[in-house]
Amino acid sequence: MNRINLALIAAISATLLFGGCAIPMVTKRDQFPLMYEERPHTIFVLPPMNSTTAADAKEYYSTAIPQPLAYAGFYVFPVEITGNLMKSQGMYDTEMILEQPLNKFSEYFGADAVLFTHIKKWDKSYLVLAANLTVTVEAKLKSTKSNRILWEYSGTIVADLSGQSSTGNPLVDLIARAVITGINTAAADYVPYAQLATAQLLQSVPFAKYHRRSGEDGSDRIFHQRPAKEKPPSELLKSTTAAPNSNEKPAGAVAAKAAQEPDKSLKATLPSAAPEPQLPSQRGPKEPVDQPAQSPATAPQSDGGIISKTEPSEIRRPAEKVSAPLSPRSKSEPLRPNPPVVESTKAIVSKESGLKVYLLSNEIWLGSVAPKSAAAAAGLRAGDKLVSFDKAQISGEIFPHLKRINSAANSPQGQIEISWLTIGSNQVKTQILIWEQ
Amino acid sequence: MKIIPFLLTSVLFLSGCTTPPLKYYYGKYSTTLYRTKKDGTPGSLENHKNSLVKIIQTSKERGYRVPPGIYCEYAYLLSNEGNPEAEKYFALEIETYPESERFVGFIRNQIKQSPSK
Repeated sequence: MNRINLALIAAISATLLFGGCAIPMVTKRDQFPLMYEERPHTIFVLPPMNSTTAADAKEYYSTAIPQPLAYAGFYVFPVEITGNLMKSQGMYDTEMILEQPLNKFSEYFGADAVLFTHIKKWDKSYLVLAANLTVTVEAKLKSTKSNRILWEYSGTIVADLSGQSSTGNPLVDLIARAVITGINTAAADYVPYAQLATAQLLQSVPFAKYHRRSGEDGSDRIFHQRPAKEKPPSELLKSTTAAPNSNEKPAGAVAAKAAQEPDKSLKATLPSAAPEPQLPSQRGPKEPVDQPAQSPATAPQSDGGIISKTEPSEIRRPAEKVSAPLSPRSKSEPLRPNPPVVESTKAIVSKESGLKVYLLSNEIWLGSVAPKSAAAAAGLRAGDKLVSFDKAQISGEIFPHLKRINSAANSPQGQIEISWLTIGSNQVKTQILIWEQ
Repeated sequence: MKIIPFLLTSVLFLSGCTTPPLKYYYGKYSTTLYRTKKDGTPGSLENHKNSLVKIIQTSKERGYRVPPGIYCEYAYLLSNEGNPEAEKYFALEIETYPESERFVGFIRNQIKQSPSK
């Protein structure tokens, strides 16, 4: 009874918020049709261009590129060698090649495409007790055959360098966090962050040959975004703490990652009917990272936080038929010709909850839901918007809400009542999620 | 009760979640590569070589394909030392990734032309 009331209240308030602010999503194929036409497979990574004052950024960043590209199924020429090669050819600056025809890269090296990256921002800032690393990168994949831009994105990543520590005592936490902040920034090893950032941004790239879903990911949905290029880091943070304003364009993208598998054996109780609840099962010891792509929980996973650059007017076609788990949504909410452009998002990951969320203004949207997690079992899907936790409506400051779900996920027998809005249906669902140790 | 334990833990899961269907072992590749660029010392180069060897070994043990470019990079480092083993690893790169043939050929030629480097 309570639940129904809550659902009603939430539905009403959620609809108000929802109205002008549907998350703009497009399919990979709509966004990057040339990728599917040319199907580039071998990538020559050029040394990054750097317009920041951080000389280090270039070196940091180039080491972070090959791994995520390889995971997207590409053959990547070793960046160390390609960097030296460019120097030996007298090409010290990638800028020199930016507008040049690229056919030589195909002729000499067999490269299908050349990756240009441009580091626009690489700043460390100290705010309150946390230190943040803000990285803004623009990237372009250009064909060596046609010289066309096949794929491009721009994104901002804000990494929290403050580390992790929580004792449950707020005062102790503050002190511990302050100390850890000092340590971490002194060590100044940003490689993992640069890597994380790249991995996150590359989620929009259509998979290549060595990826099992190569050629089949055209209907994967990605966020349609305009790069948040010129926003100072202070504004990036503001967007997560400012008063609710659903029309405000949020800024800043945080790259982070949902754990593929939660540590604990998770179980969800399903008080009301959830669509095809996936019952939790023991994790597969053999193939922990090898989830079937068709699973409703995993299919949208690769759609995570995508920063792409195309303007709304450049969308060529409306969303085409999307894969099974998404089709009901796409039917009820076809892509509008002029979707609102979200400048960027902030993604927060909680390993324990199995959720990757995006903060848009002061709303929490699901970027992905870990398969087999309590949340997945309860029927939460990527693209849903969270409305309330334990009857507390999500508004105002976001972090206390995130803390709530993390606490639940982390404590023995932790449970939380969660309400969410499924895209397109305007229907609020409520479930109690229970985590079992 | 962790508040935002996302970044550090998530790094560990990096390979696991971006692209579930592909398995590579990368070890400490990006870190040791960065060190060679940053420090430029013989020690850091040695570390990076070890990390390449570890990638090759571990990939074999686990039955994974050695990631793109790793054999080639190792061969390149060996050839810079004048180590004849380099040829073997160049060949392995081409065997594993036939699409690398033109690139590997170019590198081999370049090395032949400038034996000093």
